Amino acid sequence: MMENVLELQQVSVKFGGLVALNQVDLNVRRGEILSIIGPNGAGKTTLFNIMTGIYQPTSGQVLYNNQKINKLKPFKRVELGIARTFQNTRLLKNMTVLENVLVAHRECNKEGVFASILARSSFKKKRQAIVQECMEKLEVVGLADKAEQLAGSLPYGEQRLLEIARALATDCELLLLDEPAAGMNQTEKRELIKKIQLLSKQYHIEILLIEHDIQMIMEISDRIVVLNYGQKIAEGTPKEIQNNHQVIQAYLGGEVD
Amino acid sequence: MNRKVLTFIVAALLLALPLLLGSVSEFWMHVMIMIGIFSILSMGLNVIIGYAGQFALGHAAFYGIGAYTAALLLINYDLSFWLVLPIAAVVTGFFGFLLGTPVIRLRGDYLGIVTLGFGEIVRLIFVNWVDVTRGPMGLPGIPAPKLFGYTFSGKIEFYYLILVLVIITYIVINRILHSGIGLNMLTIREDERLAASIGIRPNKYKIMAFTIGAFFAGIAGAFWAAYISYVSPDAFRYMDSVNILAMVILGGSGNLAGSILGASILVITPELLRYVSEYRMLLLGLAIVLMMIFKPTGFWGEKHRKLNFYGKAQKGEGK
Repeated sequence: MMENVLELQQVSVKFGGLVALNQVDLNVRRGEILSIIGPNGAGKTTLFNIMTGIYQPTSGQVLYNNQKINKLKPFKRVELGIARTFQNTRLLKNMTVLENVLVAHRECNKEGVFASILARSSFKKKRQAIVQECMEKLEVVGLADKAEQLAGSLPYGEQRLLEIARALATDCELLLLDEPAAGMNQTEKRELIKKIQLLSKQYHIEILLIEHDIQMIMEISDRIVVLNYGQKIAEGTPKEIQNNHQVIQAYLGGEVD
Repeated sequence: MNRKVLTFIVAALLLALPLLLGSVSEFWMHVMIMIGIFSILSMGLNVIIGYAGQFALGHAAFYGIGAYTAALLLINYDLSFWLVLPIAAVVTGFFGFLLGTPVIRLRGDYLGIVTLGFGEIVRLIFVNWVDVTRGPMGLPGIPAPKLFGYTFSGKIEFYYLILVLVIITYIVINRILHSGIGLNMLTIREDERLAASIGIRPNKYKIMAFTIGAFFAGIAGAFWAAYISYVSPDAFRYMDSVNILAMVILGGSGNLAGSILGASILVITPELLRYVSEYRMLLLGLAIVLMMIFKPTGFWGEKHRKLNFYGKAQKGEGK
């Protein structure tokens, strides 16, 4: 029995005349790491934007835990447990690493005006607990010792890790990673793979991954979905995808890389 | 340690100022009080512009609403000033909420234009609603505040009152900005889409910023009404909004103390330049343009801000 966490049913997205996604069906199952691959412009990031509520589908349904979320605003979906990272990192560069994680914390968004003016000791204790939790998230990605540095001063690979820590701070159940390994060297990639697997196995977070590094994809994914020109052309285990004729055609026909 | 000494010296100077200045000139006491009023106004506007990143141009309207609310209550209902002050602030805060709710959909210049329009509408209401506001003639004879049977009559009393109000405003706004609320506002300013995708409701915090800004403008307005004992629409023109905006930008948006500095500079400079009369606004304009070119972050910009929002709590842990 495989339970679906997130379900897209016949989702299409059109920008004017351009069809970015064409009747895509996609399921994220409980406990899995699902990767989305495809040539540039295949609609991978659009798919993420549909799931997180930045765009709304022109037609079709988006279900999360069997609840229809088509029209929910992004911040509502975060409350439900969907978090993401961005392809081009979006960090608050002039704030510390810790603060970048703090802003995403649920309790931090609940602080009221009067409570913060009075700042009683019970309130301060709560803050310490929040800080503590955020530090734990930073430890998961291995940035705890850089908590006081400015986010903008981190190297590129660590900025990506920080984005993951921030997404974790929202207390998510489903984590969408948009090219988390871009700009990382081999060692960093190995570390990243370990961390993603840790999140999946130990923290029981479903992970949806967009990535170009095929080697990493093959190693990490439970299942792979292949998009090309807004259409899903294949779905299956890494082995199945490797031998899929259409996929090979899409890659070799589309790009020389 | 150095910082503490500096704070102490500044505090002592501010407390002793009436003794130094009061005997020399009533005029400079008045200037100091005006600095206080504009400090409160620009700190409020700093929440909207510097932290939430919403370019609002009609702050004088909130100042006016506060002043008129206080004046009408003091004249018609004979209430105590100490009661009127918070009422005026709450009423003005409510207007901030009312304005904020529809306009947050707009961004940048468009928001500026709408808030500018709001400022003009409010001023025109003051001018034309003659039954209540007596139009351009204004409302004279506002009673002075009393404290334990003692009536505020001289500038010195008002100086200490505004000093207290400025300090309270600073502490309250500072506390709000150093909480999760301030953190969220900064996130919205930097990247609204990011804010939404980590669970922050942008609209909630934008409206909150407008409400807080307006609330403190209401306090400044109520104080002004009681201090001058006369309100008229002339004090709340477009130029006054621009002036407050200039204080925020010149002092450094995103830094509360900067707003006080900006208010001081922009209140004192025109007075010092009085001898060049006609040209002083021109010189001031030139100064602001040069400022924008050479130091766009303001005299006391954000980089001096303590970056750690949970600073004290964390340093205590000694990690």
